[in-house]
Amino acid sequence: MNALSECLQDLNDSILNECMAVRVANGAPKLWRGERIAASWSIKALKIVASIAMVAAVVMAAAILPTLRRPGGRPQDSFCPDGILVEATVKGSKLNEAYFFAYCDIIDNYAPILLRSHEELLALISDMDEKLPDDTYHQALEKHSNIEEIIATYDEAYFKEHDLILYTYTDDIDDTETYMGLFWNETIREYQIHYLVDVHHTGIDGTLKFPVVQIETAKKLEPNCSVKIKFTTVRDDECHYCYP
Amino acid sequence: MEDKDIIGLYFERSEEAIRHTKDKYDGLCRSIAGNILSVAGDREECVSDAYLALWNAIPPQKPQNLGAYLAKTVRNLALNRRKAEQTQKRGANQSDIIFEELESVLASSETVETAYERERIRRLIEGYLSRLTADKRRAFVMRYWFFDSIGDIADSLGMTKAQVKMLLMRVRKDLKRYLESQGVGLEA
Repeated sequence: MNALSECLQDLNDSILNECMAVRVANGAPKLWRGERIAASWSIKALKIVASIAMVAAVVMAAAILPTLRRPGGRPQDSFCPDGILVEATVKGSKLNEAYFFAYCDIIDNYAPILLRSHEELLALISDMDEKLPDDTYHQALEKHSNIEEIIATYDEAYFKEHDLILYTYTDDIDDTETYMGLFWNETIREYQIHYLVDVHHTGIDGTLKFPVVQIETAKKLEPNCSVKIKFTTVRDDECHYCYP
Repeated sequence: MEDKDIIGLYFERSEEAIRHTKDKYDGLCRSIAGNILSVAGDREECVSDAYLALWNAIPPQKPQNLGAYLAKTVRNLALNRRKAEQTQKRGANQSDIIFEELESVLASSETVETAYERERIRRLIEGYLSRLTADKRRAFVMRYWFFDSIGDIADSLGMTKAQVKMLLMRVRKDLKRYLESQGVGLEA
């Protein structure tokens, strides 16, 4: 048993009472582990179904909306009537958070990077390719094993054919998933978001150095809604999601 | 039923005391045992043992706070059973992760080898917790006393799991610094 846990055994009743009053597990008998796992899988299954449904809805909306707005237009060209999609893979590299984090480490700069154009994104990736050793991406993936799976599931299998960029991250501890689909709108020269799920997490090692994609607008954006996106890293007290 | 009425039943040696205790606190007991023990049978036995211990303890004891008293009994019994689980290598549980987290604050069991030292550290921790904000204190106690999952704590406090994790990490670091400043947990 941990030493500190032993010391805590006789904690003051008033402190325990305070917690007992607010614990969700207090009111009703809590599920045992087996039941919890079953419930957890049910939730996961629901999340997956919901995610697929969301993506399918977005894709359908994206395909239909341009036609509705501009009769005779070519919906297959773009999700947006005047938009140009960014390729899912650029020079064989995928820009994701773990990779970006490794890059930030190397350039020793955690300042927010605001991408204003497709060219800036390409330049950033190019700089990454130049500065990062060949195996960095794979090392980053090894640190965060679930990323590869998510990329394989969503990015390669689905989004690549739609030329979407997918930024993704999965927390190994609590399975929090962070992913979204982006495309570039040439007319307004901003990235646009098709869907977005749980953009915030703190990283699995608790150091808070992991990059967080900060979205300056609310979630559940309408198709073709424009947002500015910053790729940034958060260290300790800087995270405005946790400490607004 | 009020706690004092239930305790009155114990003093009358009425078996209704157990029934009313279960009605009121079974969820609490099960959640604590469930967080610490991985084997279903052990959890059931642990909760039953806690009721029996309560029956044997009252009277002569007359706890001022029946819920906290029972919670402490369950926790203690569960942690003792957990030692047996570990000896028999009967699988990992959430508590293993929580103990690992606590290791970062106070690693060496030799630090608290005497009852006097345990009591001193407990008082230091209580003092420290009393200075925290309510949410930080609740999150810490839920995690490291009740062994609640990050998800349950987040639900209880209306926070995201990421927020809870970050908050706990900061409290652990801060507590470690505080204990060290008081001469606890420092290498000789």
